[in-house]
Amino acid sequence: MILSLLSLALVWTAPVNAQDPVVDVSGYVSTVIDGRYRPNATPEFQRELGFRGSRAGITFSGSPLENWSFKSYFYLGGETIDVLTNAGAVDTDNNGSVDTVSTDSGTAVTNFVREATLAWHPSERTNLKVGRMRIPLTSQAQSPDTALMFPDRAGPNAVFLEGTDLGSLLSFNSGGSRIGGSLGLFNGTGHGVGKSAQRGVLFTGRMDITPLGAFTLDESGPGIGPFRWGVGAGFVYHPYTTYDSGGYSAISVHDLRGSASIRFAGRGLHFLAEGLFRYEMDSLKDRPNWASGAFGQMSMFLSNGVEPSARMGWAAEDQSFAPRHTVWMDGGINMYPGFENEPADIVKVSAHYLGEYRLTERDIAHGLSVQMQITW
Amino acid sequence: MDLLPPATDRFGNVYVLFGNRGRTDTTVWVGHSDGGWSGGCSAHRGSFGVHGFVGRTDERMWYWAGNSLVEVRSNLGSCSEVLSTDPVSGAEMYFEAVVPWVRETPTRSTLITLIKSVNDARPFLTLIDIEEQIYTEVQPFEPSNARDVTVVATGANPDRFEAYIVVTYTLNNETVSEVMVVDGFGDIIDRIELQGDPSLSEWAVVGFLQGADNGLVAGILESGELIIFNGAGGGVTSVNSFDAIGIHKEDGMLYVTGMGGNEPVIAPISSNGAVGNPIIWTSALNAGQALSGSMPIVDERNSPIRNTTWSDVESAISTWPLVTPYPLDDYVTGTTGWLIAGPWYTSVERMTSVAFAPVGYSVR
Repeated sequence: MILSLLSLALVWTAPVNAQDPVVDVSGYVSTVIDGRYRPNATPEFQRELGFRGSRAGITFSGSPLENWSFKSYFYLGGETIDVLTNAGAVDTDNNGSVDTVSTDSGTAVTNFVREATLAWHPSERTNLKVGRMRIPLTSQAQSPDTALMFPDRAGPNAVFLEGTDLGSLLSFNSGGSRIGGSLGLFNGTGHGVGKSAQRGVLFTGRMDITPLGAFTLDESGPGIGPFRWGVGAGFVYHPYTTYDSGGYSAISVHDLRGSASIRFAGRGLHFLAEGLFRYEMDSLKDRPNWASGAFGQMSMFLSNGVEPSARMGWAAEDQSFAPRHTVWMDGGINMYPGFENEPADIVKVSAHYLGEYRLTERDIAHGLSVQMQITW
Repeated sequence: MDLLPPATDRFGNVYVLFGNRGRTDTTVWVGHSDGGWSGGCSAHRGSFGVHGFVGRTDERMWYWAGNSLVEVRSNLGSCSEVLSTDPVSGAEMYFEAVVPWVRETPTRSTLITLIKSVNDARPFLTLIDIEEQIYTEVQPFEPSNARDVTVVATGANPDRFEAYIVVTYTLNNETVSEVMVVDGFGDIIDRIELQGDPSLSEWAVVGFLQGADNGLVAGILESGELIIFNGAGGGVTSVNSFDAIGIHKEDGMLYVTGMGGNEPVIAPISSNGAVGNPIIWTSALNAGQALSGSMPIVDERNSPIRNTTWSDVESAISTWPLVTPYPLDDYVTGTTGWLIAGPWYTSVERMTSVAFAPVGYSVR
């Protein structure tokens, strides 16, 4: 399926490029062999080995008119969900009463479209983007999928962030891009309005300050530019109302999430630390629910094209009534076989240990991931 | 009313259990986290009444009643027995002990139990996968020549990764009382012999045992006496200065709650098992006063939700809120759920409306 999509893309873009280079096509293929060992799990899940994390992405972008641009980022991965395709009542003993339900299920790919946006650039300092995109709550959420330090974003990020959403994002910068920020409005459901029983608008905002000048959000790679550092903070506030099956208002919910980050980059060094927080309250239960987490990661690109990296994260869920603490400890190396070329990170080979320690449940998982990635 | 203190799952669904130790018509209701209540579901097996809630996951709750372990699903408000029969032999299974601790992991949720069939002379210590409803790590009760194995109490302290099952049995014509200490994987890590009165009866502890951070474990017997032990031993002791009703755990320490005259009192249990002097439990006192008289109510039994007022409400569980032999649910840290009784009418029997109310508490 991936190859079919790539072939289609090349056939489609070739004539366009031949006449007018309006559409830029880029993408990546990432093959990930990962193994996982959970000594306390059920036998089925004690040892797992496979290509589950393999994925590919293709991006079309361009600027057909002055001050206008577009971007479409399609993602194909091994992440699937089971979907119910058929269900029927079964009378196993033929006594006229239903004893069980027989179901059939299939798998479906999730998050096929990571970004589909139109952007308007009224000035060099402002940019209005509309469509489906990732909400920029954290620094790591803004990092490209191909430039992550590890095969996936940090564990705490997954606790606090959901997938992409439909909405609009106004970005701005000043001071020679030393101060950058964004304000956004989203549906908050990941779906179009009317596809969910909840109604509300998700507000988002983020501010980043880089006193020595703007620098890339890439988390890995040569990073041979001058030393830069920055701090940032973001929030997501989602007040919404849920409706019952009759269409009447059930409860009002206030969902607030925040993050703060500090990062360094330059001369081969990449460092990022983020703290995250979530608070949720509704009008019926009167039960505040909060969670918090943090992670820090660092890598150093060496002169031989090898980049050791380490990461540690922690998250506490349901902190207000039954805390569940999880610690992640990851480490490994990224290698860039073509590091002497430009760009240096077209080919990236990684090997990482990924550890998850559920302190509250006393459950542990050890993972090993070997990744080969080509960007084009 | 014959109601236990309510319990909640991680999603905030509220579970209300009607029953007591003497009646077998146990019924459970679910108050849904997004509004509305289920109509009530009955599941019970055995001549003994209800023991209590034994654990929850995100959207499910389990309770132990008589010899049955019952799963309650919040989305439908349905209830059904877990492993009422052996999947292989078809023999009826009896839950002699269920430890009140559902251990949730990414691949399974488990409960520690003692089960036996009608054909078994001794029970089996088992770890039950309550998602798949299968039992694993099955160990026959030891010693093998033990007779008349009787379960007195169960309890757990997840912070110490320990579960407790108090049993008595006959060995070589002598009665032995001991505690089986089991870890979260279902393995026995210690056995503690109890001193003193060997005549503990079946399920004599009301509610469940509770464990302190310092390793002390306590429960309250029907007689009002306490059973207290730690790794070094223990036994049954009495409280003379007030009427002991329950065990309360807060900040990792244990307290005895009860009534001193007409007022709720609370007394600390020290690390050596001694019960300190009681003081008036102002949290229970204040909650009792707050949960009386006229009360604003969010009535979400039917759509649309309405705000209303009930007059002359009172505690629906015990005279004073918080004073109960059953462990208090952590609705929020330092806050538990309680039930208040409101309007009623009489048809065949008296029917009373009940509402859920969060109640804060502190031993100070």
